[in-house]
Amino acid sequence: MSAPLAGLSVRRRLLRNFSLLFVGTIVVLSLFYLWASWNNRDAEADDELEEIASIVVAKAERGPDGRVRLHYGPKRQELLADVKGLQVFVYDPVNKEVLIEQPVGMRKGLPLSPEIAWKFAFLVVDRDSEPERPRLQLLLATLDSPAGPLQVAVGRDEPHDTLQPRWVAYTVMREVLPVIGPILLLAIGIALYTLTKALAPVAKAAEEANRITVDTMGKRLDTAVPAEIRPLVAAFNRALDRLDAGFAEQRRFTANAAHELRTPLALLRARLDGMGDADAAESFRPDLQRMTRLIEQLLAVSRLDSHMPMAKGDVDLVDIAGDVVARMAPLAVAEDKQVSLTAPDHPVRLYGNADALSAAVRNLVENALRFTPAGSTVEVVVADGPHLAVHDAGPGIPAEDRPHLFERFWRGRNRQGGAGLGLAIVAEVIALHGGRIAVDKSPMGGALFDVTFGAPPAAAE
Amino acid sequence: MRLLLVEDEAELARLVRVNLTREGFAVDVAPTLEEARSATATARYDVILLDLSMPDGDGLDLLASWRRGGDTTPVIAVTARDAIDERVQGLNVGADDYLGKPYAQSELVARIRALLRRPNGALGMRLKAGNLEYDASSSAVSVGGDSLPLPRRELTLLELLMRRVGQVVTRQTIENGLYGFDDDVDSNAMEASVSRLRKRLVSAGATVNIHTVRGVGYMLTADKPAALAR
Repeated sequence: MSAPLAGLSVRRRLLRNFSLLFVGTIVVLSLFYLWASWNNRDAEADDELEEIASIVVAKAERGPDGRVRLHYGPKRQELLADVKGLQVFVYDPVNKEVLIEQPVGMRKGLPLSPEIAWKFAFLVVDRDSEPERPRLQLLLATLDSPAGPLQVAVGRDEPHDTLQPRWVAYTVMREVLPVIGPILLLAIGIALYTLTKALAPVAKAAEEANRITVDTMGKRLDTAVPAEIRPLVAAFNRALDRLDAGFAEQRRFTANAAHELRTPLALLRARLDGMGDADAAESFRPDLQRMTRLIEQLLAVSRLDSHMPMAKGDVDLVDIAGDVVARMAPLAVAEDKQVSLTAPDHPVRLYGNADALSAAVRNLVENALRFTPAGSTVEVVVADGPHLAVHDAGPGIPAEDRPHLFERFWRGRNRQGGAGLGLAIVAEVIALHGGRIAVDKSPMGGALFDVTFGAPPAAAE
Repeated sequence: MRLLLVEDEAELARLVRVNLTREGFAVDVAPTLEEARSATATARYDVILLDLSMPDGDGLDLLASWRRGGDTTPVIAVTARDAIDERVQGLNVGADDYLGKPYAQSELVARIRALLRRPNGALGMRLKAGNLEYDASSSAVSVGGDSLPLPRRELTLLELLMRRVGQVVTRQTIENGLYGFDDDVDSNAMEASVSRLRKRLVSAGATVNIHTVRGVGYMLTADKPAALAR
């Protein structure tokens, strides 16, 4: 099939081709049938004349006076009236009486004479007097009737000089369709049934493929499909093998990188903490902290990219936010800033990973602390929803920067410090928990990061 | 106070040991799980610092075998690996706390002290912040060497804060320490206690500051100008 048809359903293609076959067969067979009938048309016309003649005399009856009456009722008359250019002549040889002559005077110009004892004969008579009309086809016969032998002449305009559409339609409907139709319909039915049965595993495989995500690694499509489809399914499964291997490799790399990068940092940190010269140690600390933060963020990005499976469970957002605020408070106080938490007395439940969420909240608070001026407070607000907001009293975020804020490595103007990864990580972690993050202006004057999670699933997964 | 440090990085082990020794702990180092196993078989430790990724196996397995054998020594699991799942796993197997590398030495010391406090043994430790000193064995408080008598409730509060200098002590922890688990605590009562303690420390000339972390808890830090603004 050519390219434009590539997307067309096999079922529709089959149906279309079968329909073409159906129509083609009917046309060919009809043409053949018509051709055969055409060749045979004289014989058929003769049969028809014979039938008309027998109808005319079928109910003939000789009365007590010895005269013959034909008794053909209105129904028969109507039938005979339908035949184009019909002419009927009936003669009783016993009484030497003309019983019908229709139209009157038809004998003139015809080889008819009451005296002849008619044989069964078919004639074709040219009508010299009326050259416009078709030739006359004529039956001359002596027929046995209930009233004894009657001489009958039946004539009609010779038919079939041209193909009559009605006759063609009649022939097709009557002679071709009843034979060919059922066979073709049956063939289409069988083909569609077979196809539907054969394609069912394909639909099932598609459904299975739809359920495959990075969290269902190792899952493969069922290869119990028709032989024609099996190579495709097998190839798909091999592609999944390669993807899984790639993911596994990246996860291994991330895990190893985490260990290898953090170990020297731990060493450096321990060395710094143990240094006698406190001033010198303090001068290194911001650099170490920045390095640590960057490495943690790169590892987080790598973890997100390799779709590391996250152990999710029932977590309390109040608990997580409280923990983050407690951890950040010493840093805030060191810079003469404050962090505070406003939360309901009851837990705000969420289905998720506590560490990932904690890292996200921590990033938001770190960010807010960086921009809020000394002497001001960063407010973390947790509410039912689940909902979390982080307010600061910093310069806020210009509207034109907001669309880019959550892009990786994006750093606005006048930004010091960060690598531009923190908020990207936050957005991704929140998205993984079915939440949304929005930026707005805080009533406190600075930026407001507003996180809304989906309603907590009652009993997820 | 005897600690076991299970750590395969020799230099890191040395540095941590030096730091902890300075804080008054006796530290044994085990560079492999095998040595950690034999060390715990021959000596009793007050706290074990257990690195989870060791050259000869997974620290969690050793921890699980200790717990199966009925050893309840407090364990702080330490790892440079990702916390995302190991933390849950480690705490399930029986770690009492969890610390990710790199960690600050002050954080490590604070966590060790928090664990030591759980079983109410006599700790015999002197806690210092600025010119403020607290002797845990005698429950004596002094500012610049001069004794500062405190009512029982404020003394307990100060001890809680002094055990985690520079760290936030949560309201929950203070409630549990001050009022016991059964009392229905009025949050204003806690605020009032903190406020009275602050006044006493200021009038005694202590160079420490108690910060309120609203909604979470309190934090005592040293060497800040008197927080009259707070």
